Amino acid sequence: MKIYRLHVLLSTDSRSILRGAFEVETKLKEEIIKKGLENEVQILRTGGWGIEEGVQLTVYPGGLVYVINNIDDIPYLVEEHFLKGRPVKKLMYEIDLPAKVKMDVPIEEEIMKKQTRIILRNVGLINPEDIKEYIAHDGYQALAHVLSTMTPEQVIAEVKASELLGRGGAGFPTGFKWELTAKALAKPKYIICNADEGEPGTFKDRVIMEGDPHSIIESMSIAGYAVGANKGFIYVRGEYDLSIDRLNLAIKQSKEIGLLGNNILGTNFDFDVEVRIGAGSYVCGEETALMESLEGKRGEPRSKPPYPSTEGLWAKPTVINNVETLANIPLIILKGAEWYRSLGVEGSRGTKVFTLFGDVNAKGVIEVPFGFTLKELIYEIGYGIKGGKNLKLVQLGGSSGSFITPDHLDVPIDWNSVRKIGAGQGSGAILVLDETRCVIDFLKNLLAFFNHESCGKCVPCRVGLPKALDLLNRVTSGNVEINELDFMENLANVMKNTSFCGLGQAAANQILESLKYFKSEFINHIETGYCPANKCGRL
Amino acid sequence: MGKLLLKINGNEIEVDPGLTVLQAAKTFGIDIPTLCHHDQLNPIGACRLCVVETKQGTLQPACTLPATQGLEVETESPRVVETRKFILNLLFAERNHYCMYCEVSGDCELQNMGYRYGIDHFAFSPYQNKFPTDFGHKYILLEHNRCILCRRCVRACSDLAGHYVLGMVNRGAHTMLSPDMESPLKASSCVSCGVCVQVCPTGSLSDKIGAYLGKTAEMTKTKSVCANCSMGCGILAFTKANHLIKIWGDWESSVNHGILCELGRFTPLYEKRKRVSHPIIRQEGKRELITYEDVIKKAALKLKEAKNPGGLISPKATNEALEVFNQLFSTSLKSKNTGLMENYNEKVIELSSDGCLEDILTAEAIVLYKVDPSTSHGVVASWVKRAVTNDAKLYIVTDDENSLSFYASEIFKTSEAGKLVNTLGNNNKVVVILNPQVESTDLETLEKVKAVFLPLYKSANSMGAVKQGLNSTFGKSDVSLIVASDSSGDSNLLASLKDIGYLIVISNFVSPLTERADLIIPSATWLETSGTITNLEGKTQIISSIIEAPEGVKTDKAIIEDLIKALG
Repeated sequence: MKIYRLHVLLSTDSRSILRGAFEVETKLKEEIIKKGLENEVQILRTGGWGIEEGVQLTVYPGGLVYVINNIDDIPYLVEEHFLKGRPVKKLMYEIDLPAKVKMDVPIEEEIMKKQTRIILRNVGLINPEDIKEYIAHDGYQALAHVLSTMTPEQVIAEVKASELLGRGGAGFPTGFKWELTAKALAKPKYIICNADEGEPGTFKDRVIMEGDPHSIIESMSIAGYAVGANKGFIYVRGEYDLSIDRLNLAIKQSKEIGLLGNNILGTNFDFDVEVRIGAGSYVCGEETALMESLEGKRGEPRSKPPYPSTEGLWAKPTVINNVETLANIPLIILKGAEWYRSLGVEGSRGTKVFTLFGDVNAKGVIEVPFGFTLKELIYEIGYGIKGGKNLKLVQLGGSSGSFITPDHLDVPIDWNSVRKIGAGQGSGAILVLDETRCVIDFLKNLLAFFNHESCGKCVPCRVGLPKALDLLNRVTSGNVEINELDFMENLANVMKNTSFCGLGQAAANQILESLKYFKSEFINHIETGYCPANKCGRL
Repeated sequence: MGKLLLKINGNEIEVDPGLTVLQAAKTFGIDIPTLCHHDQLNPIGACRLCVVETKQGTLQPACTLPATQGLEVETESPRVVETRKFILNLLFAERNHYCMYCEVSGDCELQNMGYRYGIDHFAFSPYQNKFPTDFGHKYILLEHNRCILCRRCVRACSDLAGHYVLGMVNRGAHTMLSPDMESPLKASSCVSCGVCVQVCPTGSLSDKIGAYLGKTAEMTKTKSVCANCSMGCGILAFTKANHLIKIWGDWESSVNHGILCELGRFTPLYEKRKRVSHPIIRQEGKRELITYEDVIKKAALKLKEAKNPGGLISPKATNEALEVFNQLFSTSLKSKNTGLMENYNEKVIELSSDGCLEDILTAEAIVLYKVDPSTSHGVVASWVKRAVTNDAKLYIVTDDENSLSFYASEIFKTSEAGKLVNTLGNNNKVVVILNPQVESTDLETLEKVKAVFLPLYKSANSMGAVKQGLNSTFGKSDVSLIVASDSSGDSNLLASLKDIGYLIVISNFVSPLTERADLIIPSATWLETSGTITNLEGKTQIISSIIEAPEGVKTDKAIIEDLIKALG
């Protein structure tokens, strides 16, 4: 084995690729050869760190993070750092604060100082296109352990004991879900990984799939063993080209060395995984609509009960888990439920991946144990609001999520605490809006999105959304009476109480919360004919 | 499992497990309003009109909510009523629901709900999105602007009739019904079974004739059995002033469960053949009208004088007509020279003694042997399609095109029929649907197959005729009586009539057969006849007269009885 002096980890998630990661790689290689460093410097492709800027290079030893925005900086970087050993301060990751925070300290100390990367343990560290790197980071150890030493019941017991809750948004206990499917009598059974990450502002699953695809496959195999399923499907949203490619590659690689297929690791356990691609429908992230779509039908939700655990895909018992949920499994098996329970807080164990975006300084994917407050997430990990402005509103959990006003910033983000203030953490998207944003403009955007994505099955959602949007357009065109706001509230209540699935209910929730927290802004628009944020045009 | 105890509107009721709240309430006589729900279809909970309030304060659709032990719901609480009104307001404002311009006003379930919940104005600006209309189909009007997207038609088309023509395209407010993913109905794979029209709650799908001829409440409904093929499908006929307006499938029929085909639902409404309206006699090459009494006298005289009187009867005639026909020849005329207008291979009849239509739905493998049910026995085609959707294998033996080829696992030429025996080897339940006129050589192969045999007889009462021993050919005769019903006689029959000295025809319609006849007696059609017919499974069912025959026109049975009387 070759020993290198420097290791350069190059982020190659889809976001970095769009920003020219491969061009950066070619240029780096050219320069390294020019300087005769090809035996000293190794370039490794990894997933993204979750920093929403440039192409990131992490250089070890030292763990310095560079952000390359201009390819012409590379010769200088190679000469200065790789050849002469002098870190280049001007290219280092920095955050746009009045007092610039420079990341000229190792990443573990700065970016990671508050984070705990369990789910994202391999993301940005290993080459997602090489199964050997995953194996070198304990990959497939958990599967081997499960197959050689544990019974399916023990696996389920361990997952139950970990108190892992589903990360798709509803927070259903994963172990319990597995147990229900294991106990169902019908056969065959299926494992589905819900990777139709459609929630606006949520891109955590993409980061996992692009950075650590094997962890999903390993976890699905473990789930398959636990419940008695031999077939798994990963339903990936169609826009995630790179995730699809990397998952397919990972499946191919694990099949080649017998970690998928028949008689896995010499046992009599067979498991196969197939990637299925969504066709661009938000509602197909809803588990029953996803199954309809997987079956080749129109993606519309089914009525529950029956639940997927007993009658799921093709009316057979099915476990359907989110990408992030599954990514927890190998570590729960390897380190044990007790270790897992030591992270997070009562009722919400482990860590949670959040996507922090909007008017915040450091946007990106972060992973912290449950129990952090929004204040810590926004002001410490996210380095505060852009331009030092005041916070107006946080939307937690994506477009289907809930509004959190600045009064609730000290509420810890865990299932119970969030529920207490009538909110939900949903998919883990944290959208930060500063004081210059207009809530009505924001709500209009949300409703237009839901209106576009409504499947058209149930009346309250299909008809209610256009009518609500109509009312809202009248608010911003100054053609509405104040008492019509009550009517809008009634409409939202009917939609919330009677919509078939979460889409209509969530859309209604956005209306209700806007009216609850920002009614004065509506009234202001109507009475003065003026949008304080100047977003709604001339009224 | 024992009974479940639940509380609806404060009443404790006991129901069997497995019911929805809607069904449970119905058993107790509580009417929960519905729109997307239809008793024959799987509930989907789309319209949300049937919401009920649970004890926990949630609103749940009764059509999909399972009735569970201890469940407490209110079906007309103030909150429920307000919510229903709101949903109706949304529905009325979605598309074109200006009732007074709609041809089904008065028969519309949406309109009825509007009255029930006092919707007297539009709460939202209505009809903001305009949709196309699709009026090109031969029988069906599809008006998207009156659609409430309940998907009854979609479910009926696929789950009940097995055709899978209708589906939904686009989404959200743009969702619309579409045949074959955006084809006009006319150009689609629609087979005109019309079940979509029957289940449509509004004026979105209506049939071209029935829609404009008044409200259902003003029509007379008659339960009967369709006599356009040998299936014996239950029908519900709607008439007004002795005119047939529309035909529905009878949901209660154990034969067709409400499904019909083009022949059953639409063909009788579009009857254009010219009726024989008066008895006619041909003398010296001239045709003259004659009274009924005279025609009977003349016919009886001719038959009496005949050396070798012969008789043919249509297998569409009722069992009662067949009986008196047999009586006429065996008792009055002492002749055995009788037969049917169609003939079947006796061996097929023997083979098929225990066949039953329901077998198709539960078969593991189905063989279509020289038969294409789509054109002649549409509901059999429906059953075959449904079976194939449920994973049954379909094998077709034919030398021609077959409209069910798309569904077939394998298609054999007649010469390769021998391969069937091996192909079918592993299947437990095989149904062979065959043409009853196949040759005995065909049967040599088929006899080796362990299967249930279902011959598709052409006419409504073929089995009844066979049971009365009428499945024989017609020998030479000097004076012949043909009871033709609506048949016009095929070329073979017409050719064989050349040598007959005197021909008496009892017929519904003017046809080549009546052209050849010396005496023509008008008879009532099956729509004007009561009696019994026996379907291809051997099930005897009652057909009722749906409309009255024109004045002076009698049924086959009455005419033959008059002949017997005249013969003394």
